[in-house]
Amino acid sequence: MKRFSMLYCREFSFRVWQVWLLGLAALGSQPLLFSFSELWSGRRFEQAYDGSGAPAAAVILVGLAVGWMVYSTLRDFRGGIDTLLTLPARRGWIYLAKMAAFASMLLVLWAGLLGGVFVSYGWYLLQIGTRAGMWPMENGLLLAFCRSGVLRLLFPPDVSGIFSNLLMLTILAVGSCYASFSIAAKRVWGLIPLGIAGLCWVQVFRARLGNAVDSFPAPWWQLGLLAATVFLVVHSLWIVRKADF
Amino acid sequence: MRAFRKHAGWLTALAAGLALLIMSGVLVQMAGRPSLKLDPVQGDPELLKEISLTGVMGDESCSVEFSLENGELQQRFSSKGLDLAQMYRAPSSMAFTTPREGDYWYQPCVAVTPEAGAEVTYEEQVKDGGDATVWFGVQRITRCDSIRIWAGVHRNWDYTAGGSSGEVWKEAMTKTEIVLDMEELSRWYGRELVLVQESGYYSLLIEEDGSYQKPQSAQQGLENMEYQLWDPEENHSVSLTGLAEYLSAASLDGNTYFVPDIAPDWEGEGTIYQVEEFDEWFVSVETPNSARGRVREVASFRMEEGWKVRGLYALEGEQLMLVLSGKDSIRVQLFSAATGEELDRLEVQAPPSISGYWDFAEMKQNCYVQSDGVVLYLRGGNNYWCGGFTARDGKLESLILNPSNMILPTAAAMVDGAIVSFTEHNYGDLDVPLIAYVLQIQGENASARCQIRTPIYQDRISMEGASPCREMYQIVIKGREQP
Repeated sequence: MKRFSMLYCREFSFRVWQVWLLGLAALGSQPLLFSFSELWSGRRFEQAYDGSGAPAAAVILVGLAVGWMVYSTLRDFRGGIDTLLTLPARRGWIYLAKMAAFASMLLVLWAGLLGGVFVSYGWYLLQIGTRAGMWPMENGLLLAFCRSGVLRLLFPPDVSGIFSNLLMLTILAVGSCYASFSIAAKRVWGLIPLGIAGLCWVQVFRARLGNAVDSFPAPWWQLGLLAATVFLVVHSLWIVRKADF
Repeated sequence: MRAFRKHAGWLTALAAGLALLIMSGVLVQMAGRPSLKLDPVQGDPELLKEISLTGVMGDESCSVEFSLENGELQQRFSSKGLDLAQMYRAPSSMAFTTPREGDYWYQPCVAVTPEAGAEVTYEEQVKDGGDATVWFGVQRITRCDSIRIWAGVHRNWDYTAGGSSGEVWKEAMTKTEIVLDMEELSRWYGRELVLVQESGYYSLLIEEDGSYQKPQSAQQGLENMEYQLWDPEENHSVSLTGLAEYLSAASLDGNTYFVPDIAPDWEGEGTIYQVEEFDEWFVSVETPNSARGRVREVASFRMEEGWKVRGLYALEGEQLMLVLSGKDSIRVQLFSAATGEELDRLEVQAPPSISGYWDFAEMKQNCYVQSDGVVLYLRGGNNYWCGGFTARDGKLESLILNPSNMILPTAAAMVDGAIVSFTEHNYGDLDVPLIAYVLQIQGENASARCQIRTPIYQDRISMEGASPCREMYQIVIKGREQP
């Protein structure tokens, strides 16, 4: 466990400022962009939020996080991978420590985005409190999280949603690492499991937003995502153990 | 700083996790906050303990289940949205328009056939369709001395199978003993009437010389079409539907009953029927107006001139409650569905009218059906009338209220001799824009009122786009001791 902790801290030390910056950007960009949205009588918080640039900013930040994860894994291959593999720890632990560091980064991003929504709601209350004929919805923030597909992604109101969120975040970390391994080894067929995982991710994302998923119902895509995650983790562990880069 | 750098990963993950936990805690705490508030307004609040009220307020995104038991309001938030189709299927004390049971909906229907002295002619109908088309149809006109009334009920339900969905319709229909004199009927409607069977209209192309080819098929099979009561002067059909509309059919525990309900006055022996077997709708289109399905006579009643059927209700214990109205009185008859015996009867006179004129036939009705009774609200002009009737072990119990004005309740029920109503009031002068539902118990000796304030007003003022709007559903009012 001590070695895992050491490996985790080593992984994190490469990206500590980036992680904090990402979290702060999420926290700050949401209310900033939300403040540009128009408010009028009867316009609910979730409508104003969905219509603002905040959801787009969240997507960009997630994209940046994924890009950073791919970049930081590829950086390990620039002369450092042999050192990494000869560290006095099981290779599986090295991989898991990397995943834990990525997951922490995504956790910070998630907290930042959710915090940004809270701050945005505070700003919304302040604004409509000063305008005649506008009332805040009682328990409005909770209702917004129930009614908006985008906000439901940030705070799932049920257990299956939380599981789905964790799965979607996990596969971002696992997939980024796997993509880096495939790029480093020029393993073209590695794109196939990545493609399948990406397809499942997009369908689960659409289902969570409330858009109809045409071919299969959402639980099947969730299962597909889980299967893809298991495959990517198992194959990545095999690659790391065999040093098949 | 060195220690921070050393443990930056763990500290960061811990801080993020903690922040997520705190924010989740705030939202969970919000979910536990009561949305509905109960305020006693007047009367003895102890009376509230005698009733129970359950319901759900919500939309497709979330809901609050609530109940009033022993005078205390309990509520539970759920992030699960409501299946609105399901909401309409479940039993409730809410306004009742079309009889339903589970997935099935029932619609009574009436039809006519010529009875005596029929004389048939054909008439071609040509309508200019504009441009180079005309519409052509044939009417089979039957002038007769008298017509016979047929009555029945349609049963329909929605189906979903293999990715497709639709509606299934079944029908049962029988010949009744009601025969109307055509001359009297024409007098009643104030215009001369005939029976007509229509072919439907065919679109035809006009030739250059202005002629067109009439389709030979237009007249074929015309005698098999449904008869319509027709006003030849105005060239349109005349509705036979009576005052009860959909409420002349009732269903309970899979048994469906109906009573013929027609607009014109008639006098004689009326019959309540039970459907034993439904037939496919349109299966016997070759023999229109003939019996479909299997129907048996359950009970008969005397129909006097000027009286109208206002509703038939199937109640627990195989009891059938028939409500008839005269000019200024309401008659309620209770029958055994098993033996056809009349178990009890009540006749209630209307109170003195404010306007000096009272005619139940001109009053619209709303009804609230429960397993052992019904609450009726009738209104017309400046006259309002409200009556609750329950049937227990073959005995009728009633309470009549004479309100001076009327806001129709969302839900109502007769409980232990009192009429309990749940009515929506929108008080714009409240500090917080909430809709208040007024729960009112009105008995012979005591009454009580309380408000249940809900935040759904805010939903209604923000109906932009397809925004969900919370509503009240499945309101069920019961007595405390009732199961």
